Amino acid sequence: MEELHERLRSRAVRAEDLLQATMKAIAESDAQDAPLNAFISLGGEELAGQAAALDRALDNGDEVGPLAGIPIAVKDNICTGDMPTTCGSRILEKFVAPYEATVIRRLRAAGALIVGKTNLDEFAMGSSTENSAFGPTRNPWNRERVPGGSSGGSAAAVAADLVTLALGSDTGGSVRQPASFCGVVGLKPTYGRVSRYGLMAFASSLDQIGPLARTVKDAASMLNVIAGGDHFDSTTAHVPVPDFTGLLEGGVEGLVVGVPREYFPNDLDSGIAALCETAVERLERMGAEVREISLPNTVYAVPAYYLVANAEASSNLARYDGVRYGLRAPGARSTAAVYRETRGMGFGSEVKRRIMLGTYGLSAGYYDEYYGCGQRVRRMIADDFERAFAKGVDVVFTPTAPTVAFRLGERVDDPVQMYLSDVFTVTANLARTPAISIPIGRVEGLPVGGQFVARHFEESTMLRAAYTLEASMAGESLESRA
Amino acid sequence: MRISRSELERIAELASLELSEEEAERLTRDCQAILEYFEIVRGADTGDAAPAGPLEHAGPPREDSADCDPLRRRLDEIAPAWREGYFVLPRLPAMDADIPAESDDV
Repeated sequence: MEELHERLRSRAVRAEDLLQATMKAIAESDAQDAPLNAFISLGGEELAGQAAALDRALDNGDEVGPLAGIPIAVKDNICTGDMPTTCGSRILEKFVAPYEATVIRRLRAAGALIVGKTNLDEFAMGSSTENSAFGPTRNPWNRERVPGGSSGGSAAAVAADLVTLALGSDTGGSVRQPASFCGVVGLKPTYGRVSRYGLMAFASSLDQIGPLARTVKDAASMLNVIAGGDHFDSTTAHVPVPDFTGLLEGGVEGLVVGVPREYFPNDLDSGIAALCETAVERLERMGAEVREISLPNTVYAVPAYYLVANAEASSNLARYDGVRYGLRAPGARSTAAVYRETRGMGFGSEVKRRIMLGTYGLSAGYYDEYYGCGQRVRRMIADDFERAFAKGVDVVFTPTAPTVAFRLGERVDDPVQMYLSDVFTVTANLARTPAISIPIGRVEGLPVGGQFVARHFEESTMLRAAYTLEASMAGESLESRA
Repeated sequence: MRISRSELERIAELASLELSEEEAERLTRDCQAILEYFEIVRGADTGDAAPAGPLEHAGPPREDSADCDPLRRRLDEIAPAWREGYFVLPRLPAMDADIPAESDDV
């Protein structure tokens, strides 16, 4: 991105030309027998006007923002104000928000060009981007495979070189798992580091917006722009935001890397385990102190996550009732029927399943047994991390996902198997810690991600570890497939 | 824990979800399998663990002043129906018995 930004500044490339080339590449990615289908909608005249204005500013030598002219894709559950925000759902098919999310306002102020809205599992509920009402996105490395999810469109768009950067949202791994499957970098900031204002709520205590990029440095650059307190989101932290790109150098000498044994079960794919082992050896050779640690409550993470997330989702999605936001069932004969029939025809099967399970878990007689239990176990999982960090561990290293990208259709009929895709990522959401996935190699030609987790608001330490490991691999696993 | 078809229908009513016969069948089966999987967590020894609570980093309350988001588009541009500065909502049958149920008049 740095190079592209420099070429824009030196006028070797014009923002309007870059935008046109981006739109052409997106169209070409879909003009095949197995279309990539990374985007749901694309920017129009307003976007072209923004590119022209940037070119005028650059021609005049005016000061421009750090992302001036950089094409960026945005997951379609983040409101941009100018394009529809569908959440991958029929119930919001024609919904255009009248406002833009705080992250979008900050990106635009930095000069970014929001070129389009990317495909996702409906309401971000899924791990494969197959649950979209607008068809599945395919993996650029192998179009018979899923790109992961739920931010599969954003990950595929970056991996296929359609855009330089993208935004996703991560409730249980929805930035990191697709980053792993598509061979790109995916970052989930600490809960509260980035404003959720303008992000369609799925599970409010877990949701966090994060960057997808081709390099750790690009992800850090994007985090620099979007991070920081926001009075439109009272859960954001009003804590100092460091210059994350300025803190990438320095290496890992003396850094304590915890490797939790629970993330390396006997049935973990042997190729993934071997790549993780190699990554840990590299860190050790570069001066890091590697310690085996235990996070004993990891075994409860996936069910605890789904108990909490589904309960919050059932509450958050109650607003889609046929009165607001577009779709309304025709001919319903009572107010209750309008709600019931609109939701019945507007939501897809995974969303219905989660609403049902969430409603069940919150219903009289079951609240403490399910939601309450999930929240207590969540505390125990967060305490596991706290104990490790209190004993001197600086970052935890794990595989991002237990497998490489699976085949389209392989898990759609087995929800529990699909949920287990998130087994290594949900813990960071439950514990509200920052986490990042970076490519660490390939198994059978498909990308594999390694994950770093750090203390709350210690993104800079985590980014430094990731940057150092990435540099040691000399970009060997960052090659993209269009 | 077993979830029966009638229990599923009660939950669908609470969730305001219309389900087809086929969906109800499949959801009963899926929810049963998922709830069985969730049993793992109910075996956790939570002892005196407190539920995960509010955030420690929450900032101080902001000043009590009107501070609206400057909208990118005017509300009358996006409203399906707009009259005299107000949204016009669809008339719901239960709200007005005199209006035929099929009517979408506002």
